[in-house]
Amino acid sequence: MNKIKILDSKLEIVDSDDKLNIDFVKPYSEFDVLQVKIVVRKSTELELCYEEVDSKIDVSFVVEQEAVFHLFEVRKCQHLKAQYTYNLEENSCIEVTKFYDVELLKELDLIQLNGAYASITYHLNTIARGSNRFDIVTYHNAPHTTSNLINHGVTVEEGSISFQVTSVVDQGIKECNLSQNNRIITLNHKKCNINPILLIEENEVIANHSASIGKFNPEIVFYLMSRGIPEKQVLHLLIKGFLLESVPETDLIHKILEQYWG
Amino acid sequence: MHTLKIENLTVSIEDKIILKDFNLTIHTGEVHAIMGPNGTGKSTLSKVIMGDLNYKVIKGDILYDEHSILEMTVDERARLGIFLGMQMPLEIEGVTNADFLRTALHEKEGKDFKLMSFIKELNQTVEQLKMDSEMIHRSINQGFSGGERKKNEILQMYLLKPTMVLLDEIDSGLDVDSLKVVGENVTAYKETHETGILLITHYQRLLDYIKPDFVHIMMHGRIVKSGDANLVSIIEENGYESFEEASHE
Ligand SMILES: Nc1ncnc2c1ncn2[C@@H]1O[C@H](COP(=O)(O)OP(=O)(O)O)[C@@H](O)[C@H]1O
Ligand SMILES: [Mg+2]
Repeated sequence: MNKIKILDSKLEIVDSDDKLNIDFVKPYSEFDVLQVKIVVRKSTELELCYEEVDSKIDVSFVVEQEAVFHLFEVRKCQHLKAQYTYNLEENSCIEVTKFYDVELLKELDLIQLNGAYASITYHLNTIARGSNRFDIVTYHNAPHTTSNLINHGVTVEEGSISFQVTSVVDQGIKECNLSQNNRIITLNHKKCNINPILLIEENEVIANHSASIGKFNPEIVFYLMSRGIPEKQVLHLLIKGFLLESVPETDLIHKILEQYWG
Repeated sequence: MHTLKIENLTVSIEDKIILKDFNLTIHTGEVHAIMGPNGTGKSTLSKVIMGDLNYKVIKGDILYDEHSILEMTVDERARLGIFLGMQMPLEIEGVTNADFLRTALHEKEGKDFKLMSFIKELNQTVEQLKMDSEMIHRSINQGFSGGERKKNEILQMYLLKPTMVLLDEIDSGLDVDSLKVVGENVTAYKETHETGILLITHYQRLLDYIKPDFVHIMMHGRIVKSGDANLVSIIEENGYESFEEASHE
């Protein structure tokens, strides 16, 4: 599998096949942005891993016609400002799965569904120790395009999360299908915020969204404790279930979870 | 032998008194059935024994082998040997039955926990209860019918091997076949393990499979009459009204 590692603002291509092109511009100073451009020409997978990063990053993807692309990303770092752009051509498909443990994070995701029948499934799972702010915008620029966004966050320590999720369908862009599911579990008393924005000018569209912020249901906690599992382990089970719904438990993810709830 | 003793228990929720001076003693080897109209406090009783903090114990005590358990947490009571089969088992997204049971057994058995024997016993019990073996790897109760949920409670009972089993309307939501499977398996469990059972039920049907040694009629938060299995037919014939008077004494 293709793999890129970003460590201390340095980018290392661990493994790559000929189905995608990777270009990058190194930052010249600490104020500069690390830019990465990835063109996916044929169906393939990529693992992107950030460790010890303390910088700004700008990543763009072009998924060419008919390609099916899986992006799996794990971040464990302190401060990060990220901007991602996903450009999808006709009949292309991208499945994004992200797992973050970033103390201070500001991220902008621009999803451009440019070709007919393009589709994205986007699973974000984040543990927030500090402020985590996400601004995710999906543009359905072509008919028959699909976006399915599932954002899950857990707040710990001084963490707070903001999900601003916008879906745009202009008039005349018919038969689009979009759904948003945003959930935040608060394990502290910080305020969180979910702001789903649906800007839909076309009638022939299927749109769904749901949002919730809060603690785990106390009745569920009672049920699991009544089987002899202490409260701390109950929370661990529920958090794992919540954050790993779409993510495989890799060694790094296991390490991150153990660090908080081990 | 173990004993669960409920002594002069008075319990409230949101300042409303639900149980009043409630008394009941269950020894292992005995089956007690509590019957009573809706809203009488039967589920409340089972949850208070399990340690649900939503309910406030105003007076009285709950003792397991002469020691008060009121200060114990829910999980401590469970590891002591108390099990509550719930009236409405919840769906728990993202936590598989297998992960959940493995965690629970790990907590109970500590170093003695053996993964291989756990898997073997789990598979056997799933088959014995005529459950779909796929369910092991699905989220707890997710997409389960009422009957499957109740069977899942019995499955958990078999694996956790409690000594005091409280079953809150285990018969509601069950079709005839599932009722038979559940009833027979509860009886089989009782015959092979040293167990006391408290059955909360509305219907005689369940008592065809699990024979009670004692039947208690509960109204307005207390037991108004106790007897043997013959009490059940009186209720079937006359309903609870005939006991209304006793409840105001
Ligand atoms: N969580 C709760 N909050 C408020 N009232 C409750 C709660 N649980 C039970 N009650 C009240 O307590 C009484 C007894 O309820 P319950 O124990 O469920 O009765 P039963 O199981 O006998 O039908 C009812 O009047 C019910 O409304
Ligand atoms: Mg009830």
